[in-house]
Amino acid sequence: MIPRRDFLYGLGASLGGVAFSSLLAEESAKPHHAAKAKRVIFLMMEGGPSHIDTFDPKPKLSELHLKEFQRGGKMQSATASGKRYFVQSPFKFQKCGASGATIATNWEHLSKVADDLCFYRGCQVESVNHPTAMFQMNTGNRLGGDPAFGAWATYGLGSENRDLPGFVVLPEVSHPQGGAANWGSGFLPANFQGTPIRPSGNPILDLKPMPGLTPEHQRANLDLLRTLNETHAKDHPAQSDLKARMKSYELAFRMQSVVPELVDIGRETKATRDLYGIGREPTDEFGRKCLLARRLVEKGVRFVQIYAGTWDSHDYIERAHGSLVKRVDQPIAALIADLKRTGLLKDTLVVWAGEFGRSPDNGVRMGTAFGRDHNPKAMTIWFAGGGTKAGHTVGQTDETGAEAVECVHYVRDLHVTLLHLLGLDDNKLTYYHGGRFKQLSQFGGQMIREIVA
Amino acid sequence: MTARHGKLRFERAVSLKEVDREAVEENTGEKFRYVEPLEMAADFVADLAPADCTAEGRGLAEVCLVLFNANEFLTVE
Repeated sequence: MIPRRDFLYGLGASLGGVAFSSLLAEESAKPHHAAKAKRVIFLMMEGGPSHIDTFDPKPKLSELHLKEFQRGGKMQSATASGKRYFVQSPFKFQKCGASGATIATNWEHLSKVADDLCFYRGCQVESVNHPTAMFQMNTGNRLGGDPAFGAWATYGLGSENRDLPGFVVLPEVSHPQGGAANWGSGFLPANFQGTPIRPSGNPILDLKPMPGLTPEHQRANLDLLRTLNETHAKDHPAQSDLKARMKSYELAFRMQSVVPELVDIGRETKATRDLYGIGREPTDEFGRKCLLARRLVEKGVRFVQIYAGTWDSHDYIERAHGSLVKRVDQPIAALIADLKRTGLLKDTLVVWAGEFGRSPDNGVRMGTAFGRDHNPKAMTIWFAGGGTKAGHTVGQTDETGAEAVECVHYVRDLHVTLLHLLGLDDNKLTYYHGGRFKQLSQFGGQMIREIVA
Repeated sequence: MTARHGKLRFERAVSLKEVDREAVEENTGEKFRYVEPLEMAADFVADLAPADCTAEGRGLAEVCLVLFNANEFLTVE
């Protein structure tokens, strides 16, 4: 209980000059070992982009086109039914750059930065359905509710900017399958959860103060609230949610002045905006997100995740994937080039991934509108910067792209490796919850050394 | 608080009757938008807004907002 006298004192006193409490002190933490990457931009292609139609060509499928194929095993998609047929890719491929990376020709812009990319064709996930595979890629656990990779990274390394969240998410208007649990903090303290920011319009809903509330009055109100909460917090020292709430009020107050400036991409030169394809369709929206990601990491945000979807092309893959590539190709290439130009690519890890790849076959759906099914046994992930092996293609899938056969690792090994690049040891980055120490990889994993420079 | 609110003028808020939605068409990979009428808004009675209240009421609401956001209101002992 708060004594009435204290309450009335707090109500009437002007506390505008009081400094922020030690709770709000910078929380930068030290990595476990020398880091190759300080920050991450994770380009999440929700829906499961087809590796066979983007970065992992399978000429064998032209021979097998429309020949019957029997699909089985426990990873068979729930959507698989009836007779199934191999489907050739409608896309052409080319060797790009000095590294000779193989990329579909409709990635016109990305092909120009091919030598900065490291393609990995060996990753597998353990779920064939979207929400569970999304959760596994984002949190390590197929069941939602664990902390996201971005939450673990900020928990391990802290934030480099006290005015912005350490983990920012730029989602589509319609959230991915599984929703906001894809960027939740799970059992970690709540202040490590991802903060969604909209790339245009009002960037953070409800961030703007109510009309008529001046910063001075808002500050006074928050000081009163902080005084009340600090008194209450003394009796609840173990309640991280309450501490996170207290921090969030202060962070929100600071963000009110920082975020509008941050999302004002009009401050960038026209040349930069043009580079990202901003101001014209179909690249405007994703271009804004990519440019915003660069501005966020420049300001010290530890982890930015950008969503683009949906790549769930069960039918009409030529049209659907073709259209999606047009939306993201130029902005992604611009982001890589821009990070390189500003010197940030060296210690910024860029990851491009979906939640799984796609199958070499499909059922006859919608007549002859060829598409592909879900495939957790094969996918392509690529990396840029942050200590990854630029200009290399690591791992291999079989002749039809059905399954990874070389340098095969489950996603937990990918998480171990990405944490390693950030200077974090997955076995040391733990949090005691539910009777045991938990970690991103769930129960440990191996490094994928082949992708580390 | 009351004196400050006495100097403020507020515009009456208009309640939302429809909302813009956006999604990606799976078969084309293209975005599409549509307007969804909010049926629940048809007979929705909005809470009092600042423009509907006196300066005294708005001042009291501001204090209450602080108190209701205090952690003590979240924790049942």
